Amino acid sequence: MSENILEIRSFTKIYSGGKRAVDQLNLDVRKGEIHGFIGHNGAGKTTTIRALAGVLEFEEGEILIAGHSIQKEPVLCKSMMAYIPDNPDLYDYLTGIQYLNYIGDMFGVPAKERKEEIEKYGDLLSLTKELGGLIGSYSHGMKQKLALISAFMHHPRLLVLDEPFVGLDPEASFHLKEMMKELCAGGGAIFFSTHVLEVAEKLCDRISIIKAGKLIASGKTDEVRGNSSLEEVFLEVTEHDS
Amino acid sequence: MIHKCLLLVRLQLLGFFGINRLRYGGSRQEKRKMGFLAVGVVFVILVMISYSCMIAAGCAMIGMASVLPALMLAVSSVVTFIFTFMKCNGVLFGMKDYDMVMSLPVSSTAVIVSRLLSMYVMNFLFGCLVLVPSMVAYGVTVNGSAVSVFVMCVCLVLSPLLPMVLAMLLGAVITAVSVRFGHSNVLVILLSVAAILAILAGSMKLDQADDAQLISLAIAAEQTVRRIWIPAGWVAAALNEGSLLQFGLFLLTSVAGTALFVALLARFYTKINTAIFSHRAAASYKVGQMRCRGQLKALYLRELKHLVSCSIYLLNSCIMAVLLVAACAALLFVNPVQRVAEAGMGQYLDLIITAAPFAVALIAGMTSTTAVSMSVEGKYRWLLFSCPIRAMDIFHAKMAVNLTAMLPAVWISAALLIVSLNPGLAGAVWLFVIPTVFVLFSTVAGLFFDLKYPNYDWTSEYQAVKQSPGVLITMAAGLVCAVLPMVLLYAAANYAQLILAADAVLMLLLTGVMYGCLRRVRLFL
Repeated sequence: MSENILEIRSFTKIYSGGKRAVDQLNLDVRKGEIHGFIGHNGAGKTTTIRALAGVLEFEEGEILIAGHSIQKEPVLCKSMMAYIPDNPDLYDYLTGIQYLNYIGDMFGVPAKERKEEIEKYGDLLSLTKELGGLIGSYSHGMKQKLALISAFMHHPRLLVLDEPFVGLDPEASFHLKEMMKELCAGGGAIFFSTHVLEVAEKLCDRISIIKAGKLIASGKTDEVRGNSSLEEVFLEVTEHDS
Repeated sequence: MIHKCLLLVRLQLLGFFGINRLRYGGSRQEKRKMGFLAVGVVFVILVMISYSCMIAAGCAMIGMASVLPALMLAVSSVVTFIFTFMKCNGVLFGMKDYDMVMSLPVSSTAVIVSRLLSMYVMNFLFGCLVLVPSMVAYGVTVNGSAVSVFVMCVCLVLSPLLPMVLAMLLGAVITAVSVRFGHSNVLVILLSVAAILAILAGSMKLDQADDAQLISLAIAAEQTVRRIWIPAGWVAAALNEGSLLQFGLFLLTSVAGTALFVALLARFYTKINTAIFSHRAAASYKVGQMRCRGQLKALYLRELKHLVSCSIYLLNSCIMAVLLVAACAALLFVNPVQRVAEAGMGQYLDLIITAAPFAVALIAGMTSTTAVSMSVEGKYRWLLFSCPIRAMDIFHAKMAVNLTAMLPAVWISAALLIVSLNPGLAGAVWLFVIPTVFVLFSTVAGLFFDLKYPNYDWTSEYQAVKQSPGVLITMAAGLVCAVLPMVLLYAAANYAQLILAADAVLMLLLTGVMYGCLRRVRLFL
């Protein structure tokens, strides 16, 4: 059995009009690993993340989740994953708890475990007391927290996050980092994009840098960074490459 | 203040009429869509004008043009009231651009006036459609003097003000009390259904009446309207009796009432909106026992919640079910068999009874929740697409919701028609089978066409529900499939059973083909 929970092979996404958003991308995420994905705006991060989450169609390449193709076995792959986009639009007409129950039903989380996980993560992110309110009345940060609880609740083997720290208060950001580490310590893996390089530097085991749809650097954080800061490396490789 | 106010009005109207989208929308698809929409709007306007003209001409023909001012003012006031009530939440209260607008260097009064003015423009245009034909009829047949024309013009300009103020007052109260709990939807739905049923009942009464009855009905209606909507009485008195006092009362109440409303609202505007944006259910929730459901049931319940939480979605998709049952129930009291015989159309009775299943099917097949069920997912669709479920399970849940709404309606209607038409055993069976087949067809066809022409990029659910091509195509398909066999029945009545059976089989086949196509669909952003 492969140690890689995520394998991206020659992934290419061409949008209508012929624009290559991502070109021949190869990338692995291992079990127990927090993998940061960084790049400029429009570099291809969100396209890659959407494709591996199974919500974006692509024509070239292959994406495997625990050895299963997202294109051939999408339901199986999605059952092992959780995905949160950069701007999680959740059903405004449901209450927080109704939404969590809905996601729990989708992922088959047993009732007892569901209750425990909701209480655990809800308390950690200070949202439990608000779960009776309609999502439509939540702030951006509260929606982000709710989406995070729904993602962690079913213990995904791969958690895919697009800019997860945007909109979170400092306390919630701290707890999210702890939750991420805990998930990976339990054998899960996380692949996330971010513009906050300090967070990536401290949190990630490995880092990949993408520019104009092409992977320009990838490896262990220490190796990618060397003796410089990640910010310096990022600026150097992205400017040098241009 | 006036300049800033006009700038805000301009901004509002650009959004209301989609002028900017049309000019700078970029994509050809968007422009084509706007073109279709424009054709639809023109069609609706023409229908409204012709309906209004017919009423005006009808009243003039029976010498009752004098009742027109009160009646038509009442109609335009009801339209204005409903439109304003449905729009005020989102335009005046709890609007998305509240922070942006209120942070500008403008007063609350300017913001309120700009919102009122932009809604006034829309209501004034609606009012013109209803009032101008009746005013012309009144001017030609009753009183065309310069004073009368002047009074009519002033009334036309002022007519939207009071119903707008009342609707906004109601909107303000409901918004303040219950907007966060979705109860306002229930009120909107009840009001709209009641209004539609009242119009339906009124039309049925009119159809049955002869000239003498019509005259007394028109007089009674006018008197009722004058009692209920007092400003209509003032306008009628001003025009029919030349009462300057009543005209002055209408003028003063409209202008002063609006000014008072603006002044009052300006004082509490920020408070109300702040309450809306900051209000949440008490932060005291405790996690209780959880209940697990299967994926399909969870999807179905969510679909159902979405349907009932959005009044326009529910009304647009399910109103035909309500009307169908109401119409069939009304037939119980009319004795249609006897009426057809009395009208000297006894020879067509068999044909009418044989074609009844298609009439039910036609009404039931006109709308389907599935025809916009994918489009209304809009920005939320990532949630569905990223869940570990088959696309077909999503479709099944969406179809189940439509069947839940429509099947009981067609079965109840069929049972009611069996009582009122007494169609015999075969006829009774067809009354159940044909509408059921049509509901299955419109359920699958709605989803099929909505997936083919989805409308995900909307900012308001109104756009998804009203502007999705799937609705029109499904409606047209249902219309053709119901009208065609009716024509065949008329042309070849001897082969009625064959036509009914062939239509049922053909519809099931078409449904099966579309269902097969759905099985191959994969859902992506």
